Amino acid sequence: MLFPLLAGGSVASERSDARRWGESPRVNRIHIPALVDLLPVSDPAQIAMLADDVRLDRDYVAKGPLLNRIILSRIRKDLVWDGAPFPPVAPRGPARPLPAQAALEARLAEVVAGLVNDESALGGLAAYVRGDAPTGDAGPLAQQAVGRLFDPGYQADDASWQAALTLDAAPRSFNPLQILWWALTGAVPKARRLLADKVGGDPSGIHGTGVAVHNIVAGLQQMRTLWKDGANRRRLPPAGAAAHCLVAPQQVIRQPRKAGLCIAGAFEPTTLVMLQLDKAHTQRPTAEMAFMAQSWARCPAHAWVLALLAGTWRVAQEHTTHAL
Amino acid sequence: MPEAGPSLSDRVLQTFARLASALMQWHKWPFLIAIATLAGLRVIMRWSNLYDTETAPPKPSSSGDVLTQRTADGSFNGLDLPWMGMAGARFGRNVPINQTFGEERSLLEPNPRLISRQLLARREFAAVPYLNVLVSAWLQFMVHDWLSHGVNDVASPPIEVPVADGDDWPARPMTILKSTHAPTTPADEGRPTAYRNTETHWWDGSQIYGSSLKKQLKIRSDPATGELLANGKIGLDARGHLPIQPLRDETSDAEDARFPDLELAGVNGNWWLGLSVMHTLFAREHNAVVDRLALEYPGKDGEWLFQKARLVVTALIAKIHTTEWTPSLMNSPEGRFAMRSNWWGLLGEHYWRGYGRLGDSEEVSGIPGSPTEQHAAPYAMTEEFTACYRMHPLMPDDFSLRRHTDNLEVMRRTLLEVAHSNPAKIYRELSFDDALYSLATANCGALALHNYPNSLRMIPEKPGIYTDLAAVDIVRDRERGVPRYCEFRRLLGMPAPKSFEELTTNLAWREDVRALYASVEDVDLLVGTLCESQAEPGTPAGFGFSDTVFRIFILMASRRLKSDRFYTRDFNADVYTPAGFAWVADNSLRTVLQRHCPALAPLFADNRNVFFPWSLGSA
Repeated sequence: MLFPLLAGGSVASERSDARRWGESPRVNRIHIPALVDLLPVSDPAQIAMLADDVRLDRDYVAKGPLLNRIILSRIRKDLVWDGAPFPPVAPRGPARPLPAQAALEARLAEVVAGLVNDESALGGLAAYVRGDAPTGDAGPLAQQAVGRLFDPGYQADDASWQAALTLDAAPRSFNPLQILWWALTGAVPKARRLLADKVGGDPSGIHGTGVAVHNIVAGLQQMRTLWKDGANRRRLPPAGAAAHCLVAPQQVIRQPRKAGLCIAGAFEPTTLVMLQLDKAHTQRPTAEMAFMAQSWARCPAHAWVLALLAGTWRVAQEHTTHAL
Repeated sequence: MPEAGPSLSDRVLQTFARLASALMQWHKWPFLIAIATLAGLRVIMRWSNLYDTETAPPKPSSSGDVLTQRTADGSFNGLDLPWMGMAGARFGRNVPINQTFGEERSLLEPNPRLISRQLLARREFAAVPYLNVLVSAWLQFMVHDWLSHGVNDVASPPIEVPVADGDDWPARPMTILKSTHAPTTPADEGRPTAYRNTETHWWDGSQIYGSSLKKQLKIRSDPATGELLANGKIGLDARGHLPIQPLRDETSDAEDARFPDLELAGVNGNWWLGLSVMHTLFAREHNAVVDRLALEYPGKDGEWLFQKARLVVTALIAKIHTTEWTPSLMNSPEGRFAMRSNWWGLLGEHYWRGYGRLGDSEEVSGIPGSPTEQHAAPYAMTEEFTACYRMHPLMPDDFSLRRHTDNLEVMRRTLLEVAHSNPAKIYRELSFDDALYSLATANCGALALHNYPNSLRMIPEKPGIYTDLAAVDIVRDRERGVPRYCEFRRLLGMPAPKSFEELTTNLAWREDVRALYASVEDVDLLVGTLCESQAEPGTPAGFGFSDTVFRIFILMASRRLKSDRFYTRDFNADVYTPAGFAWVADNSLRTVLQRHCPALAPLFADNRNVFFPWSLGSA
């Protein structure tokens, strides 16, 4: 959660007549004038509609109440490369998905076929899932798998993984000491540069190895837990394990271009609409939900992530007959 | 205005149910606490155990009056989601979708044929002394209304089940065709295989009326001429029997098109005498309703009469199921009260008949007539519901067909000898009343281990080709990703047995199960629920089925009513007509039997429930 302090702190509540399977949902807009104005949405059907609402975009112009400005300015400060936002936080633009994103999606779809039987790529991950590798290995292993999509020789190490942890935490942290430390040491730009150097400056690669990789790591950790259950080892098919261990981003943010009313309630240009994918994914545990796969903002790696998780489980099963 | 989530009162019930269930199984509590707990469990499940699988809904085409009549294919019941519940829509799920992937490596572990032989095969018929075979017949009559997976996948290689040495199965390996899955779309990426319901999902009498207009017109045709009956009735022969379906008729069920002399019905697959009796009875009831409506509304044409009669007969069937059939299987004060409350509410039938509804509350005045709600997902039958209705042990293997006048046996038949085209042949020697009497005075089987009808374990399909339905039942749940017993219970919020000792108190069963399964976690849903008949806390007192199965029923039995516009906001005299609405209120299975089989009435006159065994005829 970007703002854990506000997660449960519904200060003002508004109701709308939006419909969900014939009913009107509960809407909770968090609005304290001059301080914060958020519209969290966790209903899967609502998210599906709002994801394609052209009034809501990713301009992330720093405006509105104080906390909104902080959130927006951090996204624009931390998740950029060469002055341009990472593709997953870039505005919709005239063509969506962005040509680079579309090309990446097509390229990753081709990689999927080879990944299925690529034991060199999956062996380390499978060993981690089986418990044959230390707990801390998941991060570098996953980072390396993602990194090799952008540089076949990518080698993850402690430094690159620490850089990923820093870049991921930077837009979310509200720890003043940590923020101060980062400011004094320039840790965030250094982390970004380190990650960029390893993927040839590809913004999608920086985002993949620095931010998105954490969802894969969380999935692998779930898979390792799943593996401890003998019934799962015997019966759970690879596709089932992948679906079980798919972790959605906690939330993605949309900024309205003008005031309006949507299925989740009223919003102002200064409101931030928080699409809470993790909560929605709990209600509708599908890949479509986790990746927003039917929207313009879909993750280009949707097929690859599923194949990686399924392949990891399959290799773990095939190499551990004694455990079955 | 309703909200997308439990109301405040529902949240209170939820919390109460969680607390009460944490301390003790609901059926161990005193009556009032048990009822409140059940109500809370239903709320929990409405918001936690309904999942939509649809990614490319079928496209309905509207024709006729969709506002006050049921469509043939079930479309437009939900006006905002017209495809919801229509024939061809996917089965939903009662457990999270990401936990419903079909098994692959473990599909045959343990071997389904071994389970069939060692755990399911009937050793000695275990009967339920207080229930008759109409219970089994009614159950299948209902299931045919709600669901079918259609024909199996003949294009894919079949599942090959190894057959052990010493097994008398005539082929090696045993082959089982895979289920036909729904076509996939890009939106299915990462999702488990889904399956389509070839029947309408609604409780709309589609087993009688069919799930397509073509089939509907067929059953409305004059058997003698083939012409559509202009009076709105269902075609019956001169004796009031169902007509014979032409062989390989284009509207026949694919698996049964090969049987000559098969009676015609909306659904006539897996036909047997019990189904024949139920279908005949309710075809006659349809025609009786048409006569009543024609008398009341003389200016109306046959089409109008047919559609209104369909509404009435369907609602009457739903009422019978809710207030007669289910209470016979849930024969405890809590079970009877819960089911009657579903229909009439806490205020009861007398208040309802005297004063009508008191507000919108389904708890106070019952579900019929209350607001329509879908809760967490668009309405659909579910794979888990299908799995829970695998109740083949209810069927006897042998039938004594007797005269109702003196209880004299006219013939003995095996289950297969009363199946498919045989009912029509039996009626040449035995009257309809006698056939009905024979079923009503025989006991159905108990849902227990070692009580699966052996007739169904070797069903001849073609010369030299057989089906072991017990093995198929096991394979289907695994193939369709229905969780195994322990996981299934956990996903319903129920405690799961941690050992074979907790699975069943029957020592012999325990060893039988342990011999096949490596772990209690591996026990199949069907096997686990059958073991529950002898377990602690096990099956609630007076219940004919397990508590596990019951949880799905309290969710889905209510949902069939609550999601259906014609049982909720449009369950009124305006849509049903005053005469039709009164017909539903005034009738029951008892009155249906009295109307169409008056000679039998003395034999069930003393029965509290006509699904209890009737008195024997005496000369």
